[in-house]
Amino acid sequence: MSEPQPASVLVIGGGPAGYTFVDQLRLRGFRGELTLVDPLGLPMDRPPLSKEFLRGAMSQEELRFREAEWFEERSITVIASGVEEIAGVRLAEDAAGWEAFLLNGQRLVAEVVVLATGAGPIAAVAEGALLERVMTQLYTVHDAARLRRALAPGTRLSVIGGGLVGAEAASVALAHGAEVTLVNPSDPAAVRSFGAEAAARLQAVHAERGVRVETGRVARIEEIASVEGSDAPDAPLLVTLEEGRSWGADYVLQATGAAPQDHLARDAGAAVAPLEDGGGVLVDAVGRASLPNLWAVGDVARGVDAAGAPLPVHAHWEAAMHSAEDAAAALLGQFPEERGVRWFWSDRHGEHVEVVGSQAEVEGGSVVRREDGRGLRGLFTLGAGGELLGAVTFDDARLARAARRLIDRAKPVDAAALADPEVSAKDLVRPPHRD
Amino acid sequence: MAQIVDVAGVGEIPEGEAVVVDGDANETGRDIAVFHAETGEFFALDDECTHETASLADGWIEGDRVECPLHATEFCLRTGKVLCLPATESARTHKVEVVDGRVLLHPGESVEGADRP
Repeated sequence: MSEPQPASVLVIGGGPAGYTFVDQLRLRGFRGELTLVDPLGLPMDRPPLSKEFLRGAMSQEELRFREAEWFEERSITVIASGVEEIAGVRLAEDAAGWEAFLLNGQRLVAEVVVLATGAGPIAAVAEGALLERVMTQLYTVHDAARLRRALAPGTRLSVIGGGLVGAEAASVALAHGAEVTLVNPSDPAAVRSFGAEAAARLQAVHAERGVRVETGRVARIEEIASVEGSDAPDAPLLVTLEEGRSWGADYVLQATGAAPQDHLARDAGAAVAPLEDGGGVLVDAVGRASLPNLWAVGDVARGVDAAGAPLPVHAHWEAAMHSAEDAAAALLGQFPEERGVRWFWSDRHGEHVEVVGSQAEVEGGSVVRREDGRGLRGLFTLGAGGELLGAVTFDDARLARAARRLIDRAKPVDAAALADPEVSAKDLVRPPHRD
Repeated sequence: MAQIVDVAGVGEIPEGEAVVVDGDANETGRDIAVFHAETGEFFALDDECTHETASLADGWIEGDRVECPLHATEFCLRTGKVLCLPATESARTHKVEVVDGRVLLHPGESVEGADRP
């Protein structure tokens, strides 16, 4: 028996989640009208914006998941426009639907709306945030292209925020010969993402490679012309910490985190997490929002626990795609796949860092290190029962994949084998006794 | 059609591992990864991931799939079919056969049922 399919689906947003959703919906047999709207038109990937694209190793065309023909062949209409508002409408008796008002003037009607609008940047320094030489995060290809044009030998770039995007952009800028200052509010930065030990190691690498690392909160970014008696008269910008220290810069990148772009759902009256709690469209395990025929996938969505409280944000690329795939399955009455432990990666200073599971230390647990002749390859967080909870690996893809599988098994692991670089990643997951 | 390449003895490539046959040696100009799957079978794909610069031979081989070491795109070893993002293009396959305990590669000859013939 097959579930009745909706007649039409409108997907708002063309990042990894929006693209995965339309792809999966057709793969899973959806025959109705399917439309995707994004300000930039054809769906594009995002992680390369702070890596390969910024470095100049990837073009805007290469960021696209697929070309126009691919969407045409699958009868997926792609419209290049932003969306101003969505409103619930009654399509027929007992049939709820949605109306979407596009910034290009179009009005679309669909039975189901799927929000895939992702996350947008939060600027830490309001004052100065609109200066021409101050950029905020790298969420669109335009942001990344602006920074890419600015990078040249000797350019003084101050990056505020040493999270994934800030650290990656700093590393690319340094490789372009820029003089880079990285400002972290805490020392080290990104402990939540990497755990304390890996975060400290990654921060140390910045300094070793020649990034000037500052700890503190930025109070102001000003145009030098407007600052009398400035310490850096030849620089167009002056960055000042709350404690009072200041330095000159040609450009500033504010990479100070992101928040779900949930305004469409908020304005439509759907349940959303409070802004001070990080925001996000509240959804069930498969992406259903609180209003009929409204779904949310990827970074704009926020899961809830059994009591209905918003879950911690875990906005990463693979998680966005998985949520889209699960929602596409559920919308068609199919069963989503079981998902294992979460994973993400970061590239900085030529090193490929991968993170699986949780690096939060637990009582009675331990940390196991694997080192070989090239240095640290893996940091493993074990629970009180000797089970693997999380791992950070450095330039060792197989080790990360082995860790993923070991975490999913939730059984005690052989700590000595984890620490021993002579034991291959494959052997770590092989059953100990083979016939 | 390129010459058949005698890659190795069956026992020389452990299950779950792969070796790379250099593009010059196989005459296609592209490096080819020859995989010994955990099913015991041998398969061959273009070594470079269709997404970015990464060697599939360095990937995680499980069942009849390989997962790219860089961004975890999975490819079917049998057909070369791409199974998940970020790559969207399938990998080229090359025929492999085992004759008298030797793994023989037919560079440039795609397998039957290849996703990208």
